[in-house]
Amino acid sequence: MPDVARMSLPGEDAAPDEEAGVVVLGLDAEALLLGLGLAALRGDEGGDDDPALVATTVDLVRHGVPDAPGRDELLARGAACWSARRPDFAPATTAPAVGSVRAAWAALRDLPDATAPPAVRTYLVACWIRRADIDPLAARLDTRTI
Amino acid sequence: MPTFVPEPHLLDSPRGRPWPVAATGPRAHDADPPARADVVVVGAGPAGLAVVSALWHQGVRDVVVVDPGARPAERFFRRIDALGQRVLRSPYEHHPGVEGFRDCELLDFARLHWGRLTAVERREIRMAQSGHRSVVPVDVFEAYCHHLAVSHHVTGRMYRATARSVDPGPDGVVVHTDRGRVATRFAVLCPGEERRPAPTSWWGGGPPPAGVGFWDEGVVHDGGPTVVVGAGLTAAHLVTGALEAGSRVRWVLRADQQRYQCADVNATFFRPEGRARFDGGDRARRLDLLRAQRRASIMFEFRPRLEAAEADGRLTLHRGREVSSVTTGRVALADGTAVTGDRVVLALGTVFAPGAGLLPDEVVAAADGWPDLDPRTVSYARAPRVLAVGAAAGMALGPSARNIDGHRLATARVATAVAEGLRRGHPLVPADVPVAAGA
Repeated sequence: MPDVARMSLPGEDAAPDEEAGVVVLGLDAEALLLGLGLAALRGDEGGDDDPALVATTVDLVRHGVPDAPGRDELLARGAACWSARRPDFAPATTAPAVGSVRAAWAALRDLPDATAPPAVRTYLVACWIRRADIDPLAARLDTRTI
Repeated sequence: MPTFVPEPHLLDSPRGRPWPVAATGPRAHDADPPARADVVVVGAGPAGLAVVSALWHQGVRDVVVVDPGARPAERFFRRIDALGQRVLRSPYEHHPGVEGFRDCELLDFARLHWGRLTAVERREIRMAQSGHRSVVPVDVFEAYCHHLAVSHHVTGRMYRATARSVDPGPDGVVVHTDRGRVATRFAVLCPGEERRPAPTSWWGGGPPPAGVGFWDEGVVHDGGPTVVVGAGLTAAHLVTGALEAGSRVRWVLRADQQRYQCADVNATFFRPEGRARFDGGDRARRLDLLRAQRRASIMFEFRPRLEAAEADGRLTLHRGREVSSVTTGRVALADGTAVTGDRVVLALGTVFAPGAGLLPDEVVAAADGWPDLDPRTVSYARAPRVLAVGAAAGMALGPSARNIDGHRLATARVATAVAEGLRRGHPLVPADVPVAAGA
């Protein structure tokens, strides 16, 4: 993904959510929506919403692990969540462009609803930065208009 | 001339910190293995884990893994913990994960868990991202192995059994275990290496004398004077563990000096230019390189601690000494002197069997200690349905064959060959096709 290649190496004191967020940004669109769907599901259930755990669980889903959540369900949930929350990022459309994905992450991390669980926020920010890839996929999965 | 400055705090990585897992996965089967399978993988260490994971991505699912452990890499981590080892010498890019299938790599796995890492461990990640040599915490590697095992359905294919022999035939292979036999189309041998035994002359063979033990037996450091015999990283771990417990340590090594280096083989052999250097040589040249690269060496990070302990008298080195005999609490040296301590621990390195101790000698066709392997598929030239990953592939793949990096190289060839062989219904490279020199 070209955006990731623009990342410069930061110090080791980066915040954990930022580091996980930058890794998540490198995932393909389907994995991002799966992650958003899983994070939203777990958030609703009051479960563990550690972004790292969500990312590794998505990896299990994609490898067809029997105990993992269903792929189609998560994709639909992710698409629906993205449709509902995408307007939260409207202010970012007028924000100045930043040069690296890490800087973009830092600039956008507080835009989603502050009450959203950390993993939901992580995946929402990633979906926004990657919206050129996410929107078409979400549109195919979700009947609502983006 | 710039000098490499070791970071001793790398050795202080926490071990056993809580680590979240996405799923625990099934347990290894404590039952007889099935009578048939497309592929049998012997050994579920890091190499076996890599092979089964790669086969999964090739669409090969009818796989039986034979290993005495209850989980993948059980012996690997048991040995690590027996030494009190906190970090792996291999860098982040060397791991059993599969390339080319958008799988999570070890480095990204560690970064996802950034909040669980110490500042020193985070710095190592930045080093890896910058293209420099890095060191991986055992906790990270273990969690990653678990994730690989669950995601690639490895543990559920494991049967707790010990392979006794492997009989190759023209159309298949039979793997005999202590819990029955499995007929298979391909067998991949990933047995790992065994500890090197002491020479019979040291105490007449058999079990060691009381108070004398080997590195992998779980040494308990109680602060008493300790003698360590051996020159490699394992010995350095034992020496450091004893020093930390307050012991005075006497360290006997055959070499004239400890040899400090980043990896256990020259790092160029992890890169294409190093591989080309090996591949381009004739057999004599390859043998020289393999001999030179199997010398014992110690991670740089140990150097400051060991030098400080030697300087303040807690550690006494007996360099350039041959051992002539070992009895309880006493190591006699060939020069007529002796070294004494409450406990003697032997760390004499590891050895591999060219046919994993499982294949008939005529199939292994070993020369100079190396089996006759086809480098294109890492299969035994006289038994193309049997393939090898690990140290035995040294003459085919170069000095890094025994390292996790070498496992990656071998695994890619093995998985491709096996998958192709299954599709075609016969081995990719028939036994009667000669192997080009330097292939």
